[in-house]
Amino acid sequence: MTTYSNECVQCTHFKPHLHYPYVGLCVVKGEVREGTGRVETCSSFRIKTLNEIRDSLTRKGWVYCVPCRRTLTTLEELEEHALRGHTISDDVLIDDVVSEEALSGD
Amino acid sequence: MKEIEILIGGPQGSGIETSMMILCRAFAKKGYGVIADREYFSNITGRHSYIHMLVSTNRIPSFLRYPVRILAGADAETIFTHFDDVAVKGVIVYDKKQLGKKLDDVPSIENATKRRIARKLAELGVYPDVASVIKYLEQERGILPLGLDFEAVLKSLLSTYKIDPRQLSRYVSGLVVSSIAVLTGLSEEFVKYGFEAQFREREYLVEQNLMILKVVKELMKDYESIFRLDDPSLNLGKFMVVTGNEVVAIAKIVAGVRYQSYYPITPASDESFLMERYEHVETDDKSLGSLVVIQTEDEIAAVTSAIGAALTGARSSTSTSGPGFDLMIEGISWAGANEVPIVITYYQRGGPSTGQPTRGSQSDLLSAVFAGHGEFARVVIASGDHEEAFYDVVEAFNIAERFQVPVIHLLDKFLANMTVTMLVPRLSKVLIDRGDLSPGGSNYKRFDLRYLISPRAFLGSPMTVMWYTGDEHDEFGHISEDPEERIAMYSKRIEKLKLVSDSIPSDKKIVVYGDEKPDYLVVGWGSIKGVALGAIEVLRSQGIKGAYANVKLLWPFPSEEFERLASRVPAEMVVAVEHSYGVNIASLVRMCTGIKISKEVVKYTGRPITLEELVEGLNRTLIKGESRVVLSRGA
Repeated sequence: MTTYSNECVQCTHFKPHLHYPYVGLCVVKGEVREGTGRVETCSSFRIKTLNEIRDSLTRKGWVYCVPCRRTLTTLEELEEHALRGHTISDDVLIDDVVSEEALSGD
Repeated sequence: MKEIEILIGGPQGSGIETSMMILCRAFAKKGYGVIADREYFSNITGRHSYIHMLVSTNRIPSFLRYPVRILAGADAETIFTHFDDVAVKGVIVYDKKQLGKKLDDVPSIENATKRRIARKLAELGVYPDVASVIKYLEQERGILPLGLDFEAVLKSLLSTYKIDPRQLSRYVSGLVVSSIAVLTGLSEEFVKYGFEAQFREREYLVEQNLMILKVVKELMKDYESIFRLDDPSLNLGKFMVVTGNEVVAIAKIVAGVRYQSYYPITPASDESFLMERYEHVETDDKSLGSLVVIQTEDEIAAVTSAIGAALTGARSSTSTSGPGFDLMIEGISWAGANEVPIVITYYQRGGPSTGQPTRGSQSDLLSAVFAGHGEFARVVIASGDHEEAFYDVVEAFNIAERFQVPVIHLLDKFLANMTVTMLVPRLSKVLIDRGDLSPGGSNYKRFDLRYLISPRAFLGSPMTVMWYTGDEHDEFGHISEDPEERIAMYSKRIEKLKLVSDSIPSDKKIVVYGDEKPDYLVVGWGSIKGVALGAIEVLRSQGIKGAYANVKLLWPFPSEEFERLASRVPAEMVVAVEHSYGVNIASLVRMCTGIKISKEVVKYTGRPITLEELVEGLNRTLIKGESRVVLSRGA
């Protein structure tokens, strides 16, 4: 079972960067935040629960495992990664650079 | 220091490729020669990618080599994957926050790779975490570990600027670039140039990355210029920093291509994307015309639409890779039957099937030469490096139009994706030859049997009617099943191959480098050229004189020229080198000349052959007498 501490990356309103989760976007404040480091007071902070993430997965079809850098598309995968203590987010900030860096094709 | 090898690693899409472009431009601006290979997984983001570079003060490098002097890693995976690639007394630049990461904590490493790394670490008696690996390298190999706090540096940017986290990778690339610039003594002037070229019209990114440079310089001040490169002695003059895809795209525009079709496929697509940016061609404010670039619904449409455009008189081409070429085969057969001049630019990648989409190979030679039902004339050429590719593109279209045949221009992923410093091509060397064109007119015979090369009028020529069909046809193009007409038309199409062979000069068939009286001969084609030239230079310094035969015309195969060449050395001193399992070039040589090449050095991991492993391979085959060496260096 994932344990959470009081950091932005644990908050349901935080969208971690795809590769560098210590930075991301707070969708409530609409600003860049550091993902790691304790947040002393934030009235909007709400811990992200595994149930909420499960609901997101069911609704959207995917969630994102930050350390694995991959999307999870089944509840079984979600449970497996959660058991390992991985930080899982129901959304992620895609870097603009991706389109410049990743070659296209199939 | 005259040359330096650098390896940069990190998750794909995280700024690694941006780092490469900035560094290549910065080093080239200073006057150094650069070559950089990009290795990446076939998923779009997240998996491990790395850039392997060689920077030289006194030549334009044509190969890569291990070990590397500087390893710069944005993540733990880079350390685990490449720790064994770092030279004794080299440097590792890494993110301090990765120190506690264990091998098992890096789930993005494939299981087989993880097991291999774990085995290696166990053999060395090293605990599988980043800190232990770095400690081992420091103590046992004299490597200098330089840990930077990536997070702190990036967060310091946050406190100064309001950065968009969606552009974070641009700052990670700035961090990597800065660390390498500091170690090699590359001054701010050139680093700034690199940032400006990469982040054109986004001054804020340049300013922010220059701040990162200042921060990194301060953090690394005790190690500034420890690998200072000598001043360049290249005197390049006007040069370009380009990938193979870009060079081919530029060459096609110069060659007068007016129609390019494609279906997106790695590693071909970037060529068409660049051509799309120049759909309106103009110079000195004078409009030259338009270039139509169309992404079709599939490769069948790509090749058939290129054929259609060629029939109207436009220089036409399509660009693809193995799986795409397979779909084009029927179209190519049609083009052969109807004497259509088109160029298929074929970037080989790992097969079979979807294979290794983002890795290189040379395993499609026989497919390029023989694919297509029925027998018809085609020409297959290959380029050894970026500069050759430029001129070969023009030549491909000249051959296609002069002899009215499909021409397959074989390249590969290595050449497509490698970024190099290259001299600006001399346009005075470029000649456009459209072959003999006919005005058509009444009673026009498109496939006139009086001539080996048919009189070619364009669809839409005034007062001219012509027919094209997939069936066998008469001189007008009408369907015909008459046996005598069949013999005449079928023979005409194939016999022009002899004319092609007689007309192409020898120096465009096989080019020989090295000693005039060699002790051994290396036979290869395509991107083998660069590393083979490097290897024969190394062996010369060991007292063994060799030559490299760069086979450029693969079909019709230059049998006479090859036989003459091979007769210069004993049979057991000829070795074929290829990125494949089966050494297709040796099969082609045997088929066309009867000569058996019994020694071979091969690599089919999808990674490019590097200098030190080819030297070892040649030593083992030529000196120690092994008949086959399989290379495998590189993650």
